[in-house]
Amino acid sequence: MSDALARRPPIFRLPKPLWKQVAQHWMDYLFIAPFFLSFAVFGLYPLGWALQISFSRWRGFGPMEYVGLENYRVMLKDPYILQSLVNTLEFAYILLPTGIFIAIVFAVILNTKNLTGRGVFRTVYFLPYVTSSVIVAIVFTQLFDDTFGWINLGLKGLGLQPVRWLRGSRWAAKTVVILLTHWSGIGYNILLFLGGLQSIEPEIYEAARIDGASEWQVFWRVTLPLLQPVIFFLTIMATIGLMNMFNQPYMLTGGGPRGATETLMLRLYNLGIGGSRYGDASAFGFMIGFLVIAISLVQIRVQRRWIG
Amino acid sequence: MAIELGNSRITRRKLLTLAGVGAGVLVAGCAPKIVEVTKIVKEVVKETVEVEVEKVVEKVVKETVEVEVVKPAMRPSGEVIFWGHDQHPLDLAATGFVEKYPEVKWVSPHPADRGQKILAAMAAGSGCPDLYWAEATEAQDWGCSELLTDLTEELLPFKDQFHPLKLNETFIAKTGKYIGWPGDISVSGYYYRPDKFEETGYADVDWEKLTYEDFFLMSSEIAKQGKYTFVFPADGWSALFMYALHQLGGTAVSKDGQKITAGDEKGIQAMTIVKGLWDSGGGLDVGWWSPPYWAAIQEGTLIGDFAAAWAKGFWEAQIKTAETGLGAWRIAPFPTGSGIKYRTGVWGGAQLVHPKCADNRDNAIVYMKYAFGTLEGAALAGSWGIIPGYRPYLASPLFLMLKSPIFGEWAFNEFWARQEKELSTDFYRPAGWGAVNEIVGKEMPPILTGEFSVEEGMQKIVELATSDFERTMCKM
Repeated sequence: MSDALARRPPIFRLPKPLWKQVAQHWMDYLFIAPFFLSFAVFGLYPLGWALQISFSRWRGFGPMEYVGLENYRVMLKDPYILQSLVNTLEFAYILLPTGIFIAIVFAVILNTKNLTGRGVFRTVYFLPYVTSSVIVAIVFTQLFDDTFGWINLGLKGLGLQPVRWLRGSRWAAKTVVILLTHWSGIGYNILLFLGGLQSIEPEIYEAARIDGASEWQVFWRVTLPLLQPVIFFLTIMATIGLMNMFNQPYMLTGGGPRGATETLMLRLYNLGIGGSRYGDASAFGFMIGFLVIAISLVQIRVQRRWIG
Repeated sequence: MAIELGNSRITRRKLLTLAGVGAGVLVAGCAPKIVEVTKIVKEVVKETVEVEVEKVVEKVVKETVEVEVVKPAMRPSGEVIFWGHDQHPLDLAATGFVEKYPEVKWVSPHPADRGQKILAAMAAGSGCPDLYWAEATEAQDWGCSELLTDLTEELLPFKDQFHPLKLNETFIAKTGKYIGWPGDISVSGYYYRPDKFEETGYADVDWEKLTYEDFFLMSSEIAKQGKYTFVFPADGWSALFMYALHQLGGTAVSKDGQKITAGDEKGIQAMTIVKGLWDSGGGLDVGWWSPPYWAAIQEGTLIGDFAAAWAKGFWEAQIKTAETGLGAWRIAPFPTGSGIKYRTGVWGGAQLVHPKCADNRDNAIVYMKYAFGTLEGAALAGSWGIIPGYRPYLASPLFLMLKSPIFGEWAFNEFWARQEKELSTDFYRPAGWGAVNEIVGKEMPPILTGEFSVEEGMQKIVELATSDFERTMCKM
């Protein structure tokens, strides 16, 4: 009997069909359905439709005309798109490291135990982050206006030449956009670094000091390495944010002078909403999306090697 | 070697497959929509043509009846939905319209994002307003796609009562149809304050004979005194180019809308005038109609500017006291000079259109005829700031005797009535013009600063604008 059993061929059960599996766990699926439904309606469907438009000539009105990859080809040849990419990368390369550096410095200072009014400073630094970017941009426009701005009035008062901040000089306009972005965004970075600093065990510092490390060495050898996860997180998030940078140049300069502050998103807006070129804008939107994914993947790889 | 399925669960691979299939189904689901939309558009067009023919026949019958028997049957009823900007002059004309046609309800919500909303409505084929205040290029764009009601039969009997330039802007070369009712004439002039000019030593300027060369010199001298005679944002201002081009009898885009002509001889000459303005140093570097602009107007730093007639309504809102020039402003023709044919130009100037996807076609047309085809309607619409292009109104005392607080007792409309006759008939703004206009403004600074010569700069502008123009023009 036992030999006969041993000789029986092994039993392969066929996997249940998908619908049966769904039917078996219908309650589970019911609970997660709202998210997937809303994602399908507000996420997947628009994405699919945008993909379809990216292969069509459509200006938001009239019939769509299928044009294959033409929109993508045209977008790749558009000199203003190349310029907007360069602008965006310039902003990213300047804003990313300086934003992290400034935030770490402020976070370390604000993390000092004996600092008087620490809570007030923390609130003050975070305040610009929660202030409407439109209002902030209006204030900055008043500050930096080429003719009547307070900064130029101050420069004139000091006997210096006024600067054409917003409309005349390309790099001056970029500088104002950078200042505004830092001013409004640095509070968030500081908050994250403060969290990171407070999660470091005091014993580690104590051990380092007992071993004879100076404060500078403690910062370089202990604090900074332990902040690497925060730095990495901020790098990824800031990169995605900077690739989508729109409000600041739109409100301050409208992308000028001569396209010097036109970012990828601003160009996308000008194509789609401004020019009613929805086919071109959709194709360009997908190109930006792929670019952001590619950059993020590179960053993740680098981080894996760097942090381990 | 039985496969363990007791604990059935969906693996990542299965979930991805499921998601992929779902996405595929959704994307595939999108595909028939194009066909559906196209079909709908075709059906709508077919239906509209049929219905229109019926209506024309019906109307002839009704008109005959009207003369002989029943008049009330002709009276429009229902509602008219209008989208324009806030405090719109057409709302003023509507007060007279609803008085005349009490059975009609005037609805004007003026959505802030009406530009996007109307596109969505036209794409959906429903939900459009009966009347829309469309800029020249918008109307040309939509007319090219046959989304607007053909007004040819309605407009042609009135053809001689509008300036040809404004009629051109309602005409679609591709279809041979008129798709808009000429609205705001958008004729332009040089707004200035004589008292401020006098303060700077220019009391007796002969504006009728003033050349651009004179204007450059005068502006340059006045700028030395800290006052400015026009606005010129350093990042470019295409209106100045379009004004000069109009004056020279040129056009940025050809009549049929198939070619950019901004780089031709007249375009080069127009940009030379613009560079002369820049080089004079008389232009105040502020954003057009930005808060600093109005501050400069009010404090008397900016003592003049090139602007359209419709700007009056906005100036009235800013100039409220004698110190800010209430009653002291005047308007002069644009300067003259070599090659200049006209002493005016156009900037802005919208028209009334009726999208095919709207419901109340007949009411909309009755309103168009009332607001921009009768003295009463035009007078109401014209009381705010726009100048209706209806010529009988422009010749009437209703128009000529109109006063404005910014001009005091000066009959400023006599000036505009003269200027209207100065409009060029060779200046076109078909679909694609917007793309050219944008690049002109954007690429103007290197010409102004001498990075490129005017000829090189204009060539570059045409090169850079070509791609955008070809993507937005109305292909024949």
